[in-house]
Order: sequence, then C-alpha cells, then structure tokens
Amino acid sequence: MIRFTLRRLLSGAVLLVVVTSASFFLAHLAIGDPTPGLLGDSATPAQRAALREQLGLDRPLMTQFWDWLSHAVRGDFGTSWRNFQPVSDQIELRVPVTLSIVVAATLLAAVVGLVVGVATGLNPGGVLARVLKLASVVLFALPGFWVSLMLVMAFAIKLQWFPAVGYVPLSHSGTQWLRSITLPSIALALGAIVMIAEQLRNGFQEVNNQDFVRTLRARGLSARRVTVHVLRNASPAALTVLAVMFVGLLGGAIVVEIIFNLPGIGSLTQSASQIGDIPVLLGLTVVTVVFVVLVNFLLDLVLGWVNPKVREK
Amino acid sequence: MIDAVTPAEGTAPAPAGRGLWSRYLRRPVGVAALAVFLLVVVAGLLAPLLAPHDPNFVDFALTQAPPDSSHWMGGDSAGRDILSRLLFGARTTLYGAAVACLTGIALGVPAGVAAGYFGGLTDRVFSWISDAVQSVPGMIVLLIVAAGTGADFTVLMVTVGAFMAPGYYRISRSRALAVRKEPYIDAARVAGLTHVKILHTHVLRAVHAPVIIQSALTAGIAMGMQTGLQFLGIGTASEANWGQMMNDGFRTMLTHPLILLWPSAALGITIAALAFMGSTLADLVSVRGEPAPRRRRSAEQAPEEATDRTGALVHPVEASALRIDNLRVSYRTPHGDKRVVRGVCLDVAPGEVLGIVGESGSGKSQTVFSALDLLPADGRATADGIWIGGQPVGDLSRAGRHALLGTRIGYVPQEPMSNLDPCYTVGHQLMEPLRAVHKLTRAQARERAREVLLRVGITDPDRVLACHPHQISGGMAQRVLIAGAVAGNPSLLVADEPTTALDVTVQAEVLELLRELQREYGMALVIVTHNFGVVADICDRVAVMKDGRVIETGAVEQIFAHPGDPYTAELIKASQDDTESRAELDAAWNKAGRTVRA
Amino acid sequence: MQRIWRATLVAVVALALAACTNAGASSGDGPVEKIRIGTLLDVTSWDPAQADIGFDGPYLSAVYDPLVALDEKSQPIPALATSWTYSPDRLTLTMRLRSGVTFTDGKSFDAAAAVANLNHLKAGVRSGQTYANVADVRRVDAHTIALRLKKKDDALLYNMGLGRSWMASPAAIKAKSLVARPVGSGPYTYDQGDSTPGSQYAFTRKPQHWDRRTYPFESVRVLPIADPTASFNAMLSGQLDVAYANAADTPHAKRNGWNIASKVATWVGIQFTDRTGGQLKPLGDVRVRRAINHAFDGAAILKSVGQGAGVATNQVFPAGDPAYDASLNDRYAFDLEKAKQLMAEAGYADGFRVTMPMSSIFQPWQPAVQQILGQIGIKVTWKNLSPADYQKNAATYPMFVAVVALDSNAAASVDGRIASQQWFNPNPSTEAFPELHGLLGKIGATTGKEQLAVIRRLNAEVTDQAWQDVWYQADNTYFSKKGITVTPITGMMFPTLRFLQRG
Repeated sequence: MIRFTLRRLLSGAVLLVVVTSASFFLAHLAIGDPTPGLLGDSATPAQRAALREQLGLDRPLMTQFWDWLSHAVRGDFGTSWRNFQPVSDQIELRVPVTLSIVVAATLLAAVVGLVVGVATGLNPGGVLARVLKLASVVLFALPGFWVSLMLVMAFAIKLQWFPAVGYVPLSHSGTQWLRSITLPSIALALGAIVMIAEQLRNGFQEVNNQDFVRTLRARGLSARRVTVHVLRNASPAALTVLAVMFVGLLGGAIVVEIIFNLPGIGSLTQSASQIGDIPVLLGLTVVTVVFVVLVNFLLDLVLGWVNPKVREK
Repeated sequence: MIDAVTPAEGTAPAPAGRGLWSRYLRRPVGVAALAVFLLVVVAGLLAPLLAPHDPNFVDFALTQAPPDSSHWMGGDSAGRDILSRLLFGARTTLYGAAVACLTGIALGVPAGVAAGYFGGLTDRVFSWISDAVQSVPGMIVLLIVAAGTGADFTVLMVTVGAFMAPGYYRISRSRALAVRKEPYIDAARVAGLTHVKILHTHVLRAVHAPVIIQSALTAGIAMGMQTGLQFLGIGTASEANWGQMMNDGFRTMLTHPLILLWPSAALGITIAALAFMGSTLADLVSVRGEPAPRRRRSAEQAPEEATDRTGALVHPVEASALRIDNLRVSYRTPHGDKRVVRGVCLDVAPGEVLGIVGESGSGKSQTVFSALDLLPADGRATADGIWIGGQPVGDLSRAGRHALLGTRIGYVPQEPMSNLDPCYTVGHQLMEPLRAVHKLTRAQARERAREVLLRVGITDPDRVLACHPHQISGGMAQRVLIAGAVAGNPSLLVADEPTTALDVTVQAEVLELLRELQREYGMALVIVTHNFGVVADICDRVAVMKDGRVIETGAVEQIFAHPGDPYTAELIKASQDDTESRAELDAAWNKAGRTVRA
Repeated sequence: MQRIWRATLVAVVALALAACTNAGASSGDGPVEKIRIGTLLDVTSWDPAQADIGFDGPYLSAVYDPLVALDEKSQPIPALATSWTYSPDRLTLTMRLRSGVTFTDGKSFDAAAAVANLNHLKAGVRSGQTYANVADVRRVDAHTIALRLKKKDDALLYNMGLGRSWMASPAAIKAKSLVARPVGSGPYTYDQGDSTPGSQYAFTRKPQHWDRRTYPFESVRVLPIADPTASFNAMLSGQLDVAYANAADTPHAKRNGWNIASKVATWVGIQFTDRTGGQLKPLGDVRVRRAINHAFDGAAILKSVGQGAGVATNQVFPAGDPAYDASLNDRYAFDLEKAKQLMAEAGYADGFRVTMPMSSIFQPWQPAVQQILGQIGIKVTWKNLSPADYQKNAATYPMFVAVVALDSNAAASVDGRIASQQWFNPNPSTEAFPELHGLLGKIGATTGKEQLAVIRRLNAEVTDQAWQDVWYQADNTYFSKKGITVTPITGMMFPTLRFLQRG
C-alpha cells in the first residue's frame, strides 16, 4: 500500500513538472513580448525596455525557465505583470471560489448521477431511462453558456431565489455562500450528471449480467443488498469518469464564472490570457494540474478500496 | 477537457463491415439522425447555390431586422442575412469539427493500436502520455494558444483535437488489446503474416466502428467548443460560423431573441443528430445492446406454441424435493421471442442425485434457473407447475419465492472465479447471507462460515475468510462456493456444471465433496453437466436434454447400459473419447465403480 | 437506496431554505441609503500611480480625496486644494491646501504629503503622463505647494480632476503598501472584511468628512462585472442599483422604469497612423483619406452596430464641447460616388491593398469595413490579434478600426487626440502639415477664449485633412434604479462617486 501510494505520488510529481514546463515554453513562445500590452497607452520604447529588464525578459529563455522553476518548486510563482501583486496571493484568493463550484458540481453530479444511474440501471426500459437518454442528448447538444443563462433567467431573474451574479465567501455567511454557488454549480454539473448517470447505467447493466450477481441472488440476498454489490462493482468506471470530469469542470468553470461573475481562477485565466500575463497563467496551470493530480491520486486510493485487485497490480 | 464516455469501450467486437451498416439502416432513429446530418452537410456544401444572399454583405437596414419575405430569418447585429450565414456557417462549423476529429484520430488511433497490440513499453509510454494530456487543463492551453496565434480557427480546432486524442487512444487500445488476444491472430502470426498486415486486416477492422462512434461525440464536442471559445471572445467574425452567430444572438437575446434562436437550433439539431448516430452505432456494435423492446402485452398475447411434455415425473408430488412440470422458457430478442426450453418435466426426491445432461444450448441451465427463478430479465418461464419441497411455487409472490433461495435451495455455479464478487472478501460473501437471511449475529455467522469452510476441506479457514477472491485458487474458490451453497442447510442443492472450469485433478475431489455433503445433509442434488463422466461418478438418475427437450430419463446404470436415444449414446461416447482428460476419466470411472460397489 | 433518497431530500430542503431566506433585495421606501454599483472592470490598482482613469473612478473616489475635482461641466473645482493660481507666465501653479484632513492611518494631509504624492504620481508608469510638463513640486508652507512647469499645460488641472490627483498617505507610499491596501482620506472607508477582491468591494461612509454632503449614501458596494449580460442580469435580479450598461438593453431598462443616463465617451472609426504615406503610400494622399471618410455612412453604422447610442459626427471633440462645430459634420457626407471619384483622382481608381488588424472587440464593425472599403477598391487582408495584442500592435498597421476615449476639455483633446504620441497615434507627424502645425503653435501661446477660437480652427483643419475617419461618437450608458441618478462625464469611462446622487 505504501509503495503504491509513493509510486502514484511520484508519477504525479513527474506529470506536474512535465506539464508546467511545457506550458512555460508554450506561453513564452506564443505570447512573445508582453510589455506594450502591459504598459498600455503611451509607453515609449525606453519604458518597454526598462519593463522587460525589470521582468527579466531580456535574459535567455532557459535562464528564465530555471529561475521560474526553482522559485516555483518553493511555491513562489513571481508577481503578476499587470498589477505586480504576488501570483500566489491572487490565486489563493480565487481558488476557494472555483473549488466551491467545482466541488459542489462534482458532488451534485456524483449524487444525482448515482441516483439516476441506479434507478435507470434497475429499470432500463423505464420512463426515467428514456428521460435520461433524451436529457443526455439535449444537454450534449446545448452549449454550456446557453444552459447557464436559462438558469439565470428562471431562478435569478424571474423567481429571484438565487443571485444572478457574485460570490459570497463561506467565512462570511454559510447560507449566502450556498446561495451564491447554487446556480453556477448546477449549470456546471448538468452535463456531468448525465454522463455519470449514463456510465453508471451502462456499468450497472454490465455488472448485472455477471455470474456472481446471480449467485448472490441464489444465496437469498434481497434486491437491495444485491444492488449494493452491483453498485460497488460498477462504481470504478463511474468514478474514473467523475475524475476525468473534474478536469473538464475546471475548464467549464471559465464560462460559468464569467456568466455568474465569480472571481475564480477561471475568470482570472481568461483575463490573464487576454493581456498575456504569463506568470499568472503559469501559476494557474500549476494549481490546476496539482488539483488534477490530487484528484487522480484520490481516485486511485478509492478504486483500490473499492476493488482491492487494483491495489496489487 | 470533457471526455466522452465511450459506450463501445470494453465490449466485445461485433462483426463489423457491411453488415453493420445495413443493420444501422434498419434503425429508424439512426436513419433519421443520419438524414439530418447529411442534410446539414449538403446544405453546407451547396451553400453558394442555396444561400439567397452573400453571407457577408452588410445592409445597415437589415440590422437586427425581423424575418421578411426576402430574408426568411431576418438580419444579424451587423446587418447580414442570417439564413445565408447559417448555410455558409455549416461549412465552417463542420470544417472545424472535422479538423478536431482528424487530429484526434491521427494522434490517438495509431498510438492506441500500437499500445494495445504491442503492449509492454510502448503501452506504458503512450498510456502515460494519454493520462498526462487528460490532466492538462485544456481551456488554459486553448486560451494561451488563442493569445499566441490571434485565434486562428484551424489551429484552435487542432488543439481541441489534440485534447480529444486520449478518447481515441483508449478505445483503439482496448480494441487492439482484445483483438491481440484472439486466437486467430496467433494463427496469423504462425502463418507468417507481418505485424503490418495483421494490423491492417484485423485490428483496423475491429477499431473502425468505435472510432466512428467516438468521432460523432468528438464532432459534437468540437462544435460546442467553437461556441464556447466565441463566447470567451476567441475567434473570427469574418467567416460565418455558428459559434459566432450564437454569440451575436447571446448579446442581443433580450431584445432580439430570434437572432439567438436560429443558430442555437441549427447547432442543437446537428449535435443531437451526431449524438443519436453515435448511440445507434454504439448499440449495434456493443453486445450489451439495447434491452429488447418491452412488449408485455404482445408477449402475453403471443400464442403459446403447442409443446409436448418431455421427460418423466417419477416421484409423488409430496415426496419430491423439486418437481418441474411442462416448463417452457423463452427470451425476448429484437427479432422476436426465442424459445429455449420446450416442455420439460423432471423431478428429484430428497437424498436423490439427478443429473441433467446435454450439450451447451440444450436448455439444461435455463431449466434450473427457471426452477430457481433466476432467469435474466429478458427471459420468461411458464410451467404447468413447479414444486419445491412438495409445495407449489406458482402461488407464491416473487418475494415468497425468493425467500426459498439460500434457505431451502442451495446453488453451486459453474465458473468459480466469476461467481465471487471481486470487491468483497470471502468472509463477507459467506457471512452476508447468514446474517441477512438467517439472522445470525456477526459472531455466529463467522463461526458458521468457518465451520462450513472446514467441512469443504479448507484447512485454514481464517486466512481464506480474510482473502479477496483474486487471492485464492480456482479449486479453493469452488470449495468456497460450495460452502456458501450449503451454509444455509438447504434441502435441495442445484449445481450447474460444478467441475467444468476446474483442473482435472481438482474435478474428482469436488465431485467427491458434493457427494459427501449430499449424503451428510440428506439433500436432493440436481447436477447439470455435459459430461457423462460426472453422471457416472455421482448421479442416481439422469435426464438427457437436447434442443430444450428431455429426450431420455432413467437410472444411471440403465442409461449407460442401454442408451435409448442415439444422441445419448453419442454423448456417452464423446465423454469417453475425451482424450484430454483421459487419465482423469479413468480415475473417475474407477472411483465410480468403487462408489457404486460400496 | 432509501438512504440516498433521504440524503437527496435533505439537500433539496436545505437549498430551498437557503433560497427562501433573504430572497428579494430589500426595497423599502424612503431615500436610498445603500447602493450597489456594477462596473465593467476590476480596480487596476489601489496605488493611484498605477491606476487607470477609465474604470477606476468609483473605487478610488471612495477611499481617496483628489487635490482637484471636476464639476458636472468638467471644470476643475476645489477639493483638497482649496484654491490655486497660475503665475502670469502660466509656468507656476500655486495651490492652497485644505487643513484638518487626516488619512486613515492617522497621518495628516499637509504640503509635505501633497509633494510626496505628486512626486509619486509623476514617477508612476500610468499616471506620469499627466505630469509630463511638471518640472518639480515644492512645499511653500505647511499648506501651500507650487508646481513648476516646463511649458504651459492647459490640460493639467482637468487631468488632475479626472483622476490623477488622488492623495494617499505618504507613509503608505513610502512603504509601497498601496498595491495591497488603500490608505487615503476619502469619504468612505474600505471594508476589507466585507469585500471579495475581484467580485465585490464594500465601502462604509465616514461619520466625519469635509465633503460629506457630496456623498449621500451610507454604504457603497462596487461590483466589477466584465460580461455585459451578467451585469444586466444582476440589475434585473435586483443585485445592482447602478450599472454600466449596454445600449442595446435601453428599451428593456425603460420598461423597468430605471433611470438611463448616457453621454458620448469614445469616438469610433478608422484611425490612420500613416498620414505621410511612409508605410502605405496611398494614405499620404489626402484625397484617399477623404475618400474613405466619404465612403462610410457614419449615421447608418451608429444606428445599426452602435444601437443608435451616440452622435454621428466626424470630429474628435465631444459633441457639445465648445470646440465642437456641428457645421463640420457635413464635410464628408456619405457619398460612394464622390469617394470613388476621389480615389480615381488620387490615381487609385483600381484601389490598393491594405492589411488591417482585428480582434474580437472590434468584430461588430469588421464586416462593414471590409465591404465598404471593398466598394472603393481597397482590399483588406485581416490579421487576427488577441485583444491584448491589438492594443500592442494595432498602431503598427497603417490604419485600423479604433474606439478611442474622448476628453471633455478642449486643450486635453488637442493634446491627447491630435498632437502627442499615443498608443493609437504613434506618429502624430503634425510638422508635415504646416497649417496644422502653425495652429498648434498658436494654441500653445494663447489661453482662454482666444485659445478656444484657435482650437476651433484646428478642428476644422484636422477635419479637412481627414486626419482620421470618425464615424460617430459612442455613448457610455448607465442604468440606475429609481431614486438614484448618474451624471456621466466624458473622459471617465465610469464617473467617480460624486456624480452618483439621490434623485
């Protein structure tokens, strides 16, 4: 078990370094000289050169890379080129927002996906199964921002149950926090719910056809108890989808954060990419990949717990 | 990046090729979806002929104009004809989706095929890269790429495709892996075919259908991404594309909702068509398939095929442990009901061992599953009567019938490894029914489990109880399953090919064990087998089945001595000629002789 | 299964409860005490030297007092500077300062503090331009300072009032801590605990402030909302009282009974960066520039793409400004034939090719530009840039689609729009136009009415030279709930808090 954990952690660390290094070079090559955009209006060439020097952009790219990497491993991602605040401070402020909606959306997707998936798995020809199938196509066909807007129209503007924009920190007020993340989380989760439910339904049917399920029934176990067995066997595939979805949700959060005006890492990504703020973009990449690696690691642990065979492979 | 759930993954390949398409064309949903999609493609291709106006011509008077006779869908925010832009937009939108799909295929499929076919280091390297790509926040990379390239549409779609490559990779890999394990591949290798040739003829054929399904999903996602990127302000307005049109509509949706409606509808319908095409194909390719149409009423109305009773009932009802009278079993399939058991009669008394013998497909397993009420959901059993322990079960509710399982009836399955739940320990699987069904306490259940394990010949029950199924051998697993079957003190034990999956050396031991237990507990034992060797070893009476009918019943000695049916004789001969287990059979014969003599 | 259902039920009930509490904002009668303002951009920086004038007004005006403010007609009025006088040569500006003002860190505002602030602003990357003509600032006595100018600067007080003279605590300037937290003497205190940076900034009115009457609201919240639809949704859902608005939503706002305020803020059209033909020879010919001016139907573009929110004109002086001359608006009436004729006269009957930059922000105008230039033979090749790149690189192309901020001060307009180097105007090249150059010289030598007359002549000359192709001046629009009025100021993309009043 310890070796398994260590190996997964090591592999995650390697992944982190490879991805962020690739992002470093991609960003520098793609964006080029950011100083005119940063200085805006009426910067003279001399001012630009001074800023380039101040930002260390006059050095060879490899030197910059090593400098960045050696600081980054200590958690220092430098300062934003736009407002000269430490990148880590900004990300720290914004991570809770994105995590709130992404985690809430993941939980929502897991719980609702589980309920719907099991219900349709138990009764594959039923009404719910048909609704799920239709919903999966409809939600697949409609772009995320469209769905978000409809939610805003209905629940924020017409019914005024939830705010249309903004985020209230959890430390500030629990209920207000919950209200502020409800619509964004639902908007984010809808597609994921359908995918999890479909995966579970398929997995359910697959497991249901396996021999041991019949044997469990033959032992006299109730349908509910058999369902628990089936569910546990069907869950690895669904959990894997959930973990992959988490990465997708981090991406989807960009659009949702803009529509709901949430100060998360998604909207920061967008604004940073628009002005070419490379330190912020790289910091965001690192943070996102760390989340992804952590989620995958958690997934491995859970999968190992669900099905011990995985652990020993 | 949203990764499509690939419905085809992990399912066995079905015969691909022309058959697939002709079957596809028989699905109304698939045909409708294909027609809609082709319509969109044709509309895009013929846009220059169909479009009533130049899609880029600005007429300020047309700005946000409502539909009229010359502009059927009105004008957009820049004063251009929406219908014309919609038609030309189909080109750009489909082009983008195609670029994304082709990129994904070019990157994912060769890597996946190589990884699945060659395995080893190739597999590890490619799989790691695929996982790495999946952990990259694609949106950030897309935004960086957009910033660097001035949002070049093709480059963006190539990037989207690159992030979709892991999806292609995984399905190609699992397909190739499955094909690699097929015996004909080894045969082809032995026959001197090169890897290239094998990949070309066998692997590509297996891969192509899942790749098409994946492409339907990828194309839909790529189109969705186009609108998402436009929403984030990335993309061009010079060429008509649906994403840009939706974004325009989105900005004016409160005042001019029609501008949003047209492209949303076009995009929604196209993506939905892709999704339906994908799911129809997936249904056809997958063995799992769709559940057969529920036609409860028609199934009941279907005229009962007149069947003759076959077999014999030799015990009085009240003296039987199991009695089946005129059992018919049928399965719903997409092509109608398929009858697998046609009028079977048999019975067994307490302390008696009945063998049901037949080749696979003869209906013998379906017969016992019907008796146990364990048929799959799409199977249907009717009988003139089934009695267990002398009681008719026809009057019992589903739950009432279920309550017999694990208490009155014990069941020993065929394949030991697949009949234990891999997720739970042996202990849990033995104790759960004891606690849930027999209401024992945890300690009592554990004691009982140890006891039966010891009884079935497992010398270190505590270690085995703590094991997961993958940690024990097949023979031991079968002993565990037998222990599970008898733990509830059943009066009827049903064993479905209990030795078939075992090593020859273990087979005799297991049969011996079953015999001992049957005697010890005074149970009736029904044993389903294709092997007359087993019959000879253990059975008192035997029923020979063929094509869902009992063709012969009688005492074992009688049948061996004078098989009444040529088929029976053939089966007996086949068992004896089974050279593979010649030695084992000899041993079994000897033992059988001994047992009979004893 | 049952447990799952129960858990779901609990979650649903919890959500419903959360939804019910606090549903609907309090909309009691009586004067408005709390306002929530939706603006387009987040605060650039709390450090006045690093802040932008554009959208930073509502944030900075809450926590800082300026030396000089503007009134509703954009005239400089006293704030922390209670009065000022120019020396006769207009090269020394002496300012008398208010006493009894303290910063939130307890430090007093005095001449030394003002000098420290002005030096800090002069050195600032973003604020430095306002003080480009200031040679030095010195303390005269405890409550008097003097700014010595290198040359006469008629836009200085206007620019200071626009948002370039916020006074911060000298201690905080020295500690360089302003980036993280503002320390000023303004009418409100920044309530950090109640704020979520990037999403919501809360300000509470000070019980004591020298200009308390100007700021009637007890609490102010400023919410940066980058997406116009999100902003409008927030207004509809009752989360905002004042919003920076999209003119397209005006009919909707009217139906809701909101106050609508708008005023020209930018000019929209094509900027020529190469009026001497060095980069693209045809543009050096005034007939080609005039042809382009004739070719665009500014009024039609305003009506369609611009949603009719603005004034169709071809000038860079805001409509209504003393230097604005309505009679010039007919100079380039829409006339394609005339445009083609001018092109032919210039020797470009067959047109020419040009590469222009493009980015998502300017896409609404792109199809019209492509088509109209095409009609007079100019074939455009578009180079797509990201919005960031556009501001960096657009001016390296000979011409580009531009949206440029206006100034409500004639001298500032002359300098910012015509004479000095700007990102959108890297080569003013005024010396290549003797008549124009002469007028600029005269403006530098005159003041007051006399100067205004010259500026009007300059305006006519610039228009005649087709210095740029202005289609129209676009409004900035603000919606506010009943009981609140907004007074837009040309030059500020979002007005400072003094322009938000009850009413």
